Amino acid sequence: MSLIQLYGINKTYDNGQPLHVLKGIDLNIGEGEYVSIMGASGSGKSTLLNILGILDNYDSGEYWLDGKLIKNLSETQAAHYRNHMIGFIFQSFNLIPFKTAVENVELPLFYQGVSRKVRHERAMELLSKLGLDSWAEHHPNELSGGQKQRVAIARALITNPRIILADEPTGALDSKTSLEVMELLGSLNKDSGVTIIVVTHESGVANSTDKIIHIKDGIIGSIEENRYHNLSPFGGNTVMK
Amino acid sequence: MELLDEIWNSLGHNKLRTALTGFAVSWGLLMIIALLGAGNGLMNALTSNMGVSLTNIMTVHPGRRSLPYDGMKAQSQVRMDVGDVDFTSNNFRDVIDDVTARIIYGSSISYGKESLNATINGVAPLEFSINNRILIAGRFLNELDMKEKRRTMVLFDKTASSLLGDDPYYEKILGKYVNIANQAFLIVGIIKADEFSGGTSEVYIPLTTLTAIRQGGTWFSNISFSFHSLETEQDNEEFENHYKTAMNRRHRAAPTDKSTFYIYNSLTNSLQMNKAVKIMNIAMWILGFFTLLSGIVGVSNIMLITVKERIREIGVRKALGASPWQITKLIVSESIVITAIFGFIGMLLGLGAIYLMDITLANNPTDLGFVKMYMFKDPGVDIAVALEAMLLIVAAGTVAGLLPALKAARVRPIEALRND
Repeated sequence: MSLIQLYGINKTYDNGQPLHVLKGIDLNIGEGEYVSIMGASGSGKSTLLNILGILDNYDSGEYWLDGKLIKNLSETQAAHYRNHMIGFIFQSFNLIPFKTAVENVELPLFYQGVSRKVRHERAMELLSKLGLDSWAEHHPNELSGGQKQRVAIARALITNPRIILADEPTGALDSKTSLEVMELLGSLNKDSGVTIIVVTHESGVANSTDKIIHIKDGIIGSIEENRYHNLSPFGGNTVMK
Repeated sequence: MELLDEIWNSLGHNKLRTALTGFAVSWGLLMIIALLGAGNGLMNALTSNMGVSLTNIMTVHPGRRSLPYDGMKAQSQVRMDVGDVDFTSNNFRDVIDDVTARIIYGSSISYGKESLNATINGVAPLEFSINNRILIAGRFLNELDMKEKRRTMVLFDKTASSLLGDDPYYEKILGKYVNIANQAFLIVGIIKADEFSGGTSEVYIPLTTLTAIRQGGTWFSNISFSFHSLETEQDNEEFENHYKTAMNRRHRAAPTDKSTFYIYNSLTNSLQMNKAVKIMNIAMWILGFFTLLSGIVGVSNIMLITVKERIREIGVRKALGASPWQITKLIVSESIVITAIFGFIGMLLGLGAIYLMDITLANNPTDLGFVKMYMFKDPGVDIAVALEAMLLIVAAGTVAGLLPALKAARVRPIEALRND
């Protein structure tokens, strides 16, 4: 059974006039996959990510996450699932500016009620794995873009989630750093088997993942296997951007 | 503990704003404490100006008939004598305890070469107990003085000083003679003057002696009595009317005539006084509360702005798994911490303000010539009031934080995904 199962997901926004964003999405993503969802802006890919991350509701259809139906949850239940099952990586990092790197990484554990000592140890361990131990006590404004995103990745990983959802994770980074971040995500996926879903509009980013889901006008267009990362017309070693 | 860290972080992040908000709260608390302190000062002054009267006493002064009645003309003077004392003590036993009368007139008194104009009070022994007079030396007037119409005298310490010299040994004065209109009176006792009586030269002699030596004009100036079982103002008024009607009948005046007798009632007075004190206290609390309220609104407003500014941060926290309750807790605790810290500062400032009042304005009686009046005496709030104010602050902080916290709890986590 797949980790994520979507059946006929529909979502309409109603700002003045109704906007049908997702028009019946059917999708399965298995445990341990490294997937990208690719589409132009307005294609509905961000809305899909919001629904996958239980940040937003859907109007009809069914979303099963690890065998549980995610529908009409209370805010508290949704918070619980996000906290325990999902790690988020954002385009603009979203580190809390007045907290140090290690405090940012600890935050999800704080909401799980883990004691200060334990969560500090775990956060430090993770940061040193990502080569950031000497930056642990620095505030985000003292870090480079790549360092910030690695701190954010550590924060997403700290709870050992089943899924990592990354929303344009390289959008604010230069191409070299982008490559490093994508390689980091790839190796995390290989080493720990965590399921990673990357939302992007850049084909170079998508090319780093093992499977590319094309979304257009609210429906899924095609699903490409990309085991060898040689997606044409960009070729295997295409530099992003 | 963890929460405190969180709060400390975010407050430290916005020092100026935190300080400005806190100022409003400090000011509110300062006002509450200072107002209550000043109020207490005024009340203490009032109470002390009233004198200490532990007993319930009514003093009846005769007036004039306002209407012609039973052959008596309008405007004719009502006169009281020993018959009224007997009448009063015999007919109202359920209410009235002890009855005493007094005659007051002015005369010059002299000791050796010193002489001064004094108020001569002809009184019965009850006078001293009814008014809680404090004996410094010797004794009060007694029944034997009354019965034998002795020429004995009790005088105030102040009068003794001005007549017999400053700082006298009061025991030495006992046994000396003071002349009243060329009649020698033996000093048997010295009593303590307070701020409200005895300031002028005032002496006491037996009522019976006074009536015997004084030709004519031996009508009583007033009669007074202690009483019991009149609890409320209404009870007192009813009794006073009942008493006046009975006295009118006895003095051949119209039963409803209101100007024949005037009654000063110490109990009604203190009842009214208590009421005034209560009203003043409430007024002070209300004033202070509204000042504090503006502080609360300030905090609430600032917290709302804070929530708005931190909407993305709150969104991120929610995306990371913070429940609405955890967000609510964070904002409310911030609000409570702000109000508590600055409220405490305000309370200390308020206590400081009271201390200033105490050393500058307070406890200087204003001398009005015949009496000294306190305008302000012993301002201060007791620790219970300060604690109540502190509790009020915590409650205020909660209230102030509630609306912003609920707003924060409703922030949608997709705010975190907005790319600015």
